[in-house]
Amino acid sequence: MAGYCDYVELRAASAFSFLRASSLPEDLADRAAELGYNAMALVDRDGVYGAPRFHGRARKHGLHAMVGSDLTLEDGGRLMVLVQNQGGYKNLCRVVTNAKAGRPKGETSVTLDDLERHASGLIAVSDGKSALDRLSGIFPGALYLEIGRHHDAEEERRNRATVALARQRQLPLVATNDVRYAKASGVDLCDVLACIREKTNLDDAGTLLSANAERHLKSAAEMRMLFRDLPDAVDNTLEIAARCGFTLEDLGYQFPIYPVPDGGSEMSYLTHLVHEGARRRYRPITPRVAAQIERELGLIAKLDLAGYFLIVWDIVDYCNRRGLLVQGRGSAANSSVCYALGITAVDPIGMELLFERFLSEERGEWPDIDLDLPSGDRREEVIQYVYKKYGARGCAMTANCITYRPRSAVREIGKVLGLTGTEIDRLSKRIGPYEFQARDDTLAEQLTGSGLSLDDGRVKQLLRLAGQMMGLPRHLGQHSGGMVMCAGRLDEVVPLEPASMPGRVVVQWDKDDCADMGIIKIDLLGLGMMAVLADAVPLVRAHEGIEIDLAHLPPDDPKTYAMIQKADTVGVFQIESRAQMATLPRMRPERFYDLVVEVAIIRPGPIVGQMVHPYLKRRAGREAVTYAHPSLRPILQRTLGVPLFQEQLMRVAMVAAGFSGGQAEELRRAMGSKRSQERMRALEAELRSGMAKNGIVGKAQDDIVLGIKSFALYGFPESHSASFALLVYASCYLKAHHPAAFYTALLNNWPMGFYHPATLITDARRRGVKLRPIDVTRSGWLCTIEEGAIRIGLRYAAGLRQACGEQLVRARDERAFASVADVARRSGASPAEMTTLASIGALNAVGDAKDDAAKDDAAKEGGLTRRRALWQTAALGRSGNELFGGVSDRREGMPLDDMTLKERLTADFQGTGMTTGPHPISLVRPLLTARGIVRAADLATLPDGTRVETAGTVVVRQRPGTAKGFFFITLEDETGFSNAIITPQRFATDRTVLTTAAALVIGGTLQNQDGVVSVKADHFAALREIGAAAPSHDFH
Amino acid sequence: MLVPHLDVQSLERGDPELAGAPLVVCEGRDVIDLSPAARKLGLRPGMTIFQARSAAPEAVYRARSPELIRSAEGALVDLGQSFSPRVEQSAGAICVDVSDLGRLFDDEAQIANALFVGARKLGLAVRVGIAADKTTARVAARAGEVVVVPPGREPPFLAPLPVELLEPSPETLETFRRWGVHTIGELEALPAGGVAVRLGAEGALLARVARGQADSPLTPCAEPLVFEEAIDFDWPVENVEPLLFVLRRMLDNLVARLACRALASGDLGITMKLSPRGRDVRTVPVAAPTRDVATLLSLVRLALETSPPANAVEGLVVRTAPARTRSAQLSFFEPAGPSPDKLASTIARLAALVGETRVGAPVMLDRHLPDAFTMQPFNAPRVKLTADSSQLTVAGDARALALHSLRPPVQADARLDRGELRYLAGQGIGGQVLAAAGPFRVRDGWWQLPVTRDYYDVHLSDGAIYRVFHDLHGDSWHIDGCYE
Repeated sequence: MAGYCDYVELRAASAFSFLRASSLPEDLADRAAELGYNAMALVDRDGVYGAPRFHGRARKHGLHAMVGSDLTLEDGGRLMVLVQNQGGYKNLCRVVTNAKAGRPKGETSVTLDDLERHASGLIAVSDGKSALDRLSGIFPGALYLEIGRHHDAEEERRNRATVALARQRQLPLVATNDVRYAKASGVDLCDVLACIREKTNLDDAGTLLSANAERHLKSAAEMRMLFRDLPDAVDNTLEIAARCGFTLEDLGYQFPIYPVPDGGSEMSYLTHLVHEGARRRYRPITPRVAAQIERELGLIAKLDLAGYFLIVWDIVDYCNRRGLLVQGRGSAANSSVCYALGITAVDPIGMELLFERFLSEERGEWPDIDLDLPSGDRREEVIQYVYKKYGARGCAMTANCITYRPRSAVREIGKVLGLTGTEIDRLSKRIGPYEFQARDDTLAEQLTGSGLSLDDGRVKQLLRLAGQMMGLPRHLGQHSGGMVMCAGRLDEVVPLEPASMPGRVVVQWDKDDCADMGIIKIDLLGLGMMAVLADAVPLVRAHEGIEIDLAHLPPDDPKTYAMIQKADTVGVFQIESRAQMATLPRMRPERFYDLVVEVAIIRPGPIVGQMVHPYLKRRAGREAVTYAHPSLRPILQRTLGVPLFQEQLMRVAMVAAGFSGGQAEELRRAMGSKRSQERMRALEAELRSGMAKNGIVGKAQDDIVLGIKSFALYGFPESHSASFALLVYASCYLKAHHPAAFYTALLNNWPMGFYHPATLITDARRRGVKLRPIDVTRSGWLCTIEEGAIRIGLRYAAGLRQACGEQLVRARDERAFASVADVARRSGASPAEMTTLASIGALNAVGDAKDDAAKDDAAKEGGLTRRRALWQTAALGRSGNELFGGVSDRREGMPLDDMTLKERLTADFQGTGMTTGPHPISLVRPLLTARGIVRAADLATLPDGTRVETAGTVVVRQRPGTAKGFFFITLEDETGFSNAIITPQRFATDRTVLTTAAALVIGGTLQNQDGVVSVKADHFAALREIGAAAPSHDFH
Repeated sequence: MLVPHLDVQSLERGDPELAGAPLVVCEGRDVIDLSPAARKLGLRPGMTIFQARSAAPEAVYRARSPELIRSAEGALVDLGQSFSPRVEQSAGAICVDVSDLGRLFDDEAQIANALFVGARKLGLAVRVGIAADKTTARVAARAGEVVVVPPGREPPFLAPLPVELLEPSPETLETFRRWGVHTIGELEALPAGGVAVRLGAEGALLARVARGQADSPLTPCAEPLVFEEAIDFDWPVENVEPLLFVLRRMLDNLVARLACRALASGDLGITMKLSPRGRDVRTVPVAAPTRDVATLLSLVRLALETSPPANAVEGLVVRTAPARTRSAQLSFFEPAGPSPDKLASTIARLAALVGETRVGAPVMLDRHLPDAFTMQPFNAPRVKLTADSSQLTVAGDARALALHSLRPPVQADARLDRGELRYLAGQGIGGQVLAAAGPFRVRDGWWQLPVTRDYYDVHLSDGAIYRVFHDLHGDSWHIDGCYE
């Protein structure tokens, strides 16, 4: 705690004033502490966005974190308000909420009437320009006039007027430094942000830029010196600080109270529901089950958490009543109460999961239950249910703070510095989408690689400023599914504001801030695969007459596991990635728990901790099952001595180092939170000390610590893995037994998953599913099943608007299309849309597109009708043709030649991104065979170590952050996939062809071990004979 | 005649030593064209100069030269005109009407070869196409080095050629690709009406060309007008005055010739043949075209007096760039402003005295630096008549405390005591500081040429109030101006 400081900075804006200040709240708090401040007010624009982070850091320094906001008045003027007490804080939140309600995102307008209704507990600081008479009435005894000194002649002239005004109105003056950056060096970035905000550049910004660098935090001595002629103005900062004792410790948040029927208590109702549910779930209820349930209920009662569980149960109950799939994820699956309530689908007792991972007395905080829902409209329905239930001011989504990343920082700063558009584009493309950053992949390297010279002054500035800008808030978005709610009014706890999406309201804090402030959040997350499952079930019912009950699928289905063991898992939840498919043949899952392990095993934790290969080796019997210490055997036995799950690590900490459940959970949280590196180091010391006390020293201790530290990035909870494994099994089962419905649902819910639709449909075809192309006489907007085949939907016609597609379907349902012109007229499709439909063959079955003389399939497949359709559509929309719009010029005939197969494939890829025709590689197979290039399906027949060449279209490119710079490519030909691994050195020399070619021939040494086949590639060439292909999925 | 890689060829023509070298033509920061030798080094258009230099430092880098390009094109026009008076110049191509050359050449192949060889002698490698119409000839030139299309044989000639040679717009080319039309013959096979309906006027034209029915007329370029007077002296003239005497007569003649065509004189090009050898070539800029000989002569006088020829002058050539006179519409109710001629002359004389960038109208810049300004071209202000016509006022006249700026600011010695300015002196100004306001701190241009100054208003013991500043980068003091 600092000594006495005779100045308090009352106006400091953080970067959470979005483009108006350049320091993070933490940096302001740190600098204030360095200067010896006792108190400081963070005053962001029109809200309290940065307040939690400022509060958290200030608390560490023993700094009194005052709360306030700089408000935009309805006449455009500004008024700073500071919070005196909890009532004042509530009023501030309500004023800000009211000022933003019903307005476009980003706009605020505080009315004086609303301020008058909510003035209690607030101190107002005015610049004297706006509505002073009225403000004097609203804030009697709590209104000050602000004066600042920044070595600005014009400002000094205004100050004289302000001083005179203060004397005339008998209002006290208060000095501030209107801080925009913690230290003077932050001024350049502040100028850059001003240019971004005003959409200009440094050369043209003129007086929009800072006149000087004086708006930084100054010492009390400096401020005293500046205002030596007005000492009262400085003294008043102390007076105000004394009056404003409120901090965010006194938030006054309370969780909603659940309306229990029949006048019972929340706990009694919860107990009733749990027992009722347990009777359904556990047959029979064993003593162990009963004891666990009672233990959990006891803790829930002790911690007074019954209301939370009831609220989550209520949402799940709503979903069940509406027939919406829902499943709790995460640590909630460790709880038998959650299982009994139907919130989760995994039996924690049967799976021996760790309840303390979910809830413990030592944690002193609310539990965290996330619900997975089908993505799209169904999830939105649930969100709106919650809004309706708790009221527009009773709940909201959490915010998601979008920060500057390298690409966005470089683009914005480049524009501000006056780099050309070409230079900026080149640099942005160079900063690739791949996660891995080589040591020499610095921004400086990327600048020079883009043709910019580091000797250029502006380029040097770009480098410097980009480094400062990284991580700064850019704007506030909406978290995808986090909702917070409170007893009474949420807008008295944190200001609410409209989200960009209609019908959504967002709090001004993100989920970490909410957690730090003790605000309960429930995540309602949309999972694409749940939407697929939800869509597939009715398709199976309608087209196969089979009723699927996802909760009661046949366990351990041989066909399903056979498919998984072969890594035939394209499109399947969680196990379709390249890394997963490389593991499955080694893992050979045979039962449900194997899937639980499989889901967890390909994660940064096990990979960084070098745990993957030992587990697989031990499973294959090639390595002995050992334990770092005998005490760990019961914990690690079922994963063959290899720690894979967070619960295992927690139990290890408890058993090996004597941690309590709560301490072990704190260790896990420190591992998972990005802000807790210092805490992690402190916990490591405690861990080692505890292990030493238990006689675990040396290599054993190091091995245990390595395993724990590897989870610093992201380790999976076993409960979460188990919940996901249920979805894995369900999706695999559907794929194995009902592929048409599965792929149809998958295509209708894309984008999702790992693969492009082009790959999904070739995979479907390999499973024997027939595919039918887009046809305006048959296709819906979405894909459908037609006589067991998948009819591709209109949504996949590139550039076709959904409104147009739906109108087309409606028009067709009224009566069949008579001609191409009829399609255009009744659907409202533009000439460009009609051209696309024609080129992809979607008009082939329409009236005059058909060549009556060529009704046989061979002629149709020869593409005669595509060209005719193109010929017809080209005449549409031309001025002067309307008179003859409905008349086809039959005398003209069909002057264009048929499309060749290659041309049809090219048109398919360009017009839909996929083809229902043959794979493009099959067209050049004779050429490839002549060159000795092997098919993907044949690679598995060749011995390990063979020199091979194979070819295919590129479907996936990856450069994962944990792979030490190795680059992975997946190719596809007409027979399946081939995988290639490229060393960092070869990637550096062949980067262009590897990252841009649509199809490749690769050559190298075959690796064929344990059923996993890949090519360690050392030479590559673009396969230029391929006309077009689907875009690859490039990511990490 | 088409000139492939005109940017490269024009530079090679201007500097024959560049022939065969790996030449990289640049514009701005980018590479726009390359010689074959440069392409072999792996360089490509679209790279930045920095990338190209990093990849191939041994290549030769030159900026694109519009002057050399014009010169090359001019040379080809001259070549064309040596064959026929009807020559059309368009972007990258020269079209010559060779229809009446039957008496000079046996056949068109001879003409084509003669043009090809003639261009070579001018230092240019061209492609020559001869056909019945301009458009087909252009296609032929794009199809090969020397191509002659016999009359009536256009369709079979064009048929196998790629449709890109017709230079369709990108949208039309995309439509051809979708239709599977890859050659001109395939386009020709389509019904003309159907193509016209679908592709509009462009389609109709392309269809006609494909049929050999293009009929685009040649638009010959007009001969440039040259207004030049020349004289050789019997003996060298050493002084400027006699030169001006002669120049006056020459200007009279030029102006009279210009007047015949209702033209005026723009910039003057003066070439003085010096004794015993050498030339003095200079351009005298004329701000506004004029036929006023006195104005022209005064500009020439200024130029010669400011910078007299190094030696005696044996001969003079004066050439003028003809231009149209500017007219100014006067209003009934406003007095006429200064004559544009006289104004231009005055500005030119001032520019000659003080430098071009120092004559004009100062405009304050929107910057924090108190004296940031730039110069814009001077236009005579509109003078408004008020109701009392005896008083003419200029809009924006407002009384204020004025700062008499010292340009440049006067460097001063400053003495401080505990951070307070006490004494200041420099170049005849100085005294004890009786009172001071400031510092008023200003920073500017941190991203390129940083300036950081503390300004003060100081009342000195000499009775005057000055604005001074402390340059924080150079740690120097300056007196910026005096308040009046």
